[in-house]
Parts: sequence; C-alpha cells; structure tokens
Amino acid sequence: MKVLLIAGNFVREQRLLAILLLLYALASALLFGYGEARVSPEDVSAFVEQQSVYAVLFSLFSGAWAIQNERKTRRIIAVLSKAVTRRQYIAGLLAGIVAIFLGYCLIIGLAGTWLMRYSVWRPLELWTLLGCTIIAALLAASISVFYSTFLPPLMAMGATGITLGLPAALEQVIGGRAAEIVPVYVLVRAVAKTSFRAPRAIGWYTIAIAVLEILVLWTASAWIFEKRDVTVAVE
Amino acid sequence: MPAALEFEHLTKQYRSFLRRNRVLALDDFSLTIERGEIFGFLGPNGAGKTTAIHIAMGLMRATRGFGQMLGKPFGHASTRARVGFLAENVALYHRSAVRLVRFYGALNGMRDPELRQRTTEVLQQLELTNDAGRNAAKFSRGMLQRVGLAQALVNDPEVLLLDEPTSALDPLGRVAVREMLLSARKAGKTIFLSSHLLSEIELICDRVAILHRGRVARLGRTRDLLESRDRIEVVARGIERNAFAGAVTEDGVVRFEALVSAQRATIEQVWSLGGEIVRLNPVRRSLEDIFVELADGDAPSGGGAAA
Repeated sequence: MKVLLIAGNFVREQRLLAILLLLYALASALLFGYGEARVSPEDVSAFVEQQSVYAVLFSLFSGAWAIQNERKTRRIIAVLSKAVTRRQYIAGLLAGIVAIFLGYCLIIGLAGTWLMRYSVWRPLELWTLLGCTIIAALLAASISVFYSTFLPPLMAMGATGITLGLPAALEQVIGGRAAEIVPVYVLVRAVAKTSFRAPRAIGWYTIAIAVLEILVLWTASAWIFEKRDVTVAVE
Repeated sequence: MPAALEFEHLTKQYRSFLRRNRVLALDDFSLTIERGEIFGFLGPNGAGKTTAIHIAMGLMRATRGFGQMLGKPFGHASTRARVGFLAENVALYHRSAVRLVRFYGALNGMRDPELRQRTTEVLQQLELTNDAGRNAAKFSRGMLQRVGLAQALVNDPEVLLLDEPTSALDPLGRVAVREMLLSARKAGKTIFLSSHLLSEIELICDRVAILHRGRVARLGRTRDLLESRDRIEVVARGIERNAFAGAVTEDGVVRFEALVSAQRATIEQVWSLGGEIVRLNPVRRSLEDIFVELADGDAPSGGGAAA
C-alpha cells in the first residue's frame, strides 16, 4: 500500500512529463496515420521502434533524477520520516516510473493498433513488443536508480549509459551473447528489428534475466540507499 | 519502560563527495529524553541540533555511536508510525492541505475511517479547516508550517520531534501551538523541541539541553539552568544606593547582586546600615544570556551539569 502511495505520488509529481509523453505518442500516431488509407506494417514497426527507444531514454533519465529531485526539494524528509522503509521508497519510485511508461506504452499500443486497422496482421505482435519495451524501460530505470543512490544524477546517467552500452559493445567485439548480460539492448534491438511480416522471437531467458536483474538492482539500491544520508551534507 | 529518545556517544562527521572536506557535526553526543516531558533543544546555528534530530528519525546515519527511539534503534521504520516529526523549513508537495495530511497519515499505515477523523481533527486544531481544500503551494510560510504540524500530529504520536515549529508563525499562532504542546504533555506525550525562540523554551520546557560544537554544553531542568547557584539578588530598603557596588534604586528600594557565599554578611551589613531586607532571590538569567556566554566561549556558572 505504501509503495502504491509513493508510486502515485511520483506519477503526480511527474505529471507534466507524463502528459507530454502521452501527447507526443498520440501526436506521432496521428501524424503517421493521417490521410493514409493504409499504413504498412513496416511503418508501424518503425513507429514502435522509435517510441521504444524514447521510452528507454526517458526511463533512464527519470530514474537518475528521481531521488535527487526529492532530496533537492527536501520533500523526501517528510516521506522518509514516516513508517516507510528505504526499500519501499525505492520500490515506489520504480513503480511510479513503470506506471508512467505503462500509460505511454498503452497509448503506443492503441495507436499502433489503430494504424494497423486495415492490415491483415493481428496486433498481438505489437503488444508483445510493447511488453519488451516496458521491461527494457524498467531495467534501464532500475540501473539508473541504482547508480543515483550513490552518484550525482549526471554521473548516474553516464554510468547507466556505460552499463547499457558496454555489453552490446562487447558482443560486437568478442561475439557470443555478451549483450544478454544487461539485456536492455537486446530487448530494444528485438523491437527495432521486428517486422510484422517476419516477427523476431525473443527468448524467454532474456526476459527472465531482465526481471531477475530488476529484482537484484532494487534490492541493491535499497541496501545502499539505507546507508545513505538523505538530508543535505557538506558540499 | 524505555526512554523516549536515547543518544549514546553519537558522532557524526560530514564528508564531501570526494571526502576532501570534513565537518564534525556531533562529537560524542549523549542525551536521554524521558517520556512525558517537553524537552528544549537549543544551540547556535551549526551546533548539530538538526543533525541529531535527523539521525533520530533515520534520515542520517551516525558515523559512530548508537541511539534508540521508544526502545528501538534509530531508523526502525515501524517505530516512526508512533512518532511525529516536523522538519525545519517545511517542504511539502503541491496539493491541498487535506490531501497532504491524508497522504502522510496513510504513509504511517493509517486507514479510513480513523485517518479521515484524525485529519479533520488536526486541521481543526490548527485552524486550517477553511483552507483545507486549497493548494499548499499557495500558502504563506506560516500556513505551510501549520500544515507541517498537522502532518506530524495526524497519527496521534507518542513522541513529537519538532525542529523550529513556530519560526514562521505569528504571535497568536505561537500561543496556539504552545497550548497544544502543553495539552499534549498532559496527555502523556513526549515533545522534543528545537527552537531559537528562547522565551518559548523558557515558558514550556521541563528540561533543556544546550548544544555547542556538537556536544551538550548545558543540561538540566529549565528552572535550575535559569537560576544562578552562586549569586543572589538582594532587594532592600532604608539604605543608600552607594553602600553596595552595582546597586540601583527602583521604586524606593535598592537592588543589587551578591555572592551566595557572602549572603549572611550582606544581610548583616544591610541591617547594620539601618536598612531592612525586602527580598532575596537567586539571580535569574535568561536562556539568551547563557546562549551568548556559550557563543562567546565562556562557560556560564551553575545551573546544571555539562554532559
């Protein structure tokens, strides 16, 4: 219940960003589909791909700044002086980020379904890809929240970028499945490479690794955050 | 029954991000707050008051030492459901007062109908009923402070930690808060009050600690701290003013100070000069005097032990 309260509060505080995202997704869909009698699956695929990349980038950004914003405004003091554990607080922030991107992906999904209305292809594939996008966004947010528990936001964003990019770069250099170590890239690539004419399969283990990493990062973030002072220290 | 608050040899050192700058905020700080008392926590800016309070609330961790709140170590989340806290410079979300109070009450595990009832009660108590639906972002500092107090009181706490609770209030608001704190004490609550309004502390606190450079410099009952143990004030009539050094004439009586050790000799001297003693009282200082003495680096004499 407390996690939901903190999540709801986070969404409310980020409502401007959330509304902008939703409006952007809606406007993009309208621009894509306006005046077109038929939108090809490739166009829908490109639309979803673009939105998925934005979702991951925005989640990374939100995660890195979430704690810092609350500390800077000192509003964190009143929240953490209640019967709330740091674990619940971190879970609430992540749940809030997920809630925003669930709304975002819902809009993309509905828009994509609308764009594919004259197509013979069923939109199930589209919703699967959006599921991948949500998991990728949540993992990216978990990583940036994790770093933000002990690094300033800009450094946390940099560290998250490196964490997301390094496995992908390794895979390019040494081959194999190095990108699966932190599967955000794998999930986004799956979305990007998917064509509704030839759906790309996403291994269940990729999803399992992502979910496991989200849980580990949440626990680690809470553990580190528990040891951090949340009020102003000497700079 | 465990004490309301116990700080045991707490040390807190702030370090900058790259650990270049270090500041010692608390230095082997020990203090015990008993249940049912109003405790005044004083000290100049930077003495470590807010740091001590934040450590008690689990917002910070001590570098060394240990502390307990209601018998549980500092930072124990479920114990905080029995505690009310108002931070200095209240920072709240931008929404209506009633929603804010309900939000913070819910974070303490309260549910309707109890939450609804307590919210209504505290908003009434703090005279916020008429503004309960207004967005707190549009409130004055004084009204924000009242909302801050409301969120601290909504869970009917056993212990209240208040950091400058009346700094933004007008005189009427201060009187109302003072009366509220006194009635809370009557109801058996413990109040830990940090304030720079020394007159307020003098009026309502049972005990006082003065923090200086991270340590308790003075601790004791308020009355004991304010009354000097080694000096008395003598009020006499029928003598000349110049008979005693530093004497002043007021309303037909002569008033001067003397050492307690010379009390008998002073009385006899007044009698020998043909005068009579009207009154003998321990010299009463204000907390401000003690404060200034501490800030100047002079330890004031008498009035409680240094910890």
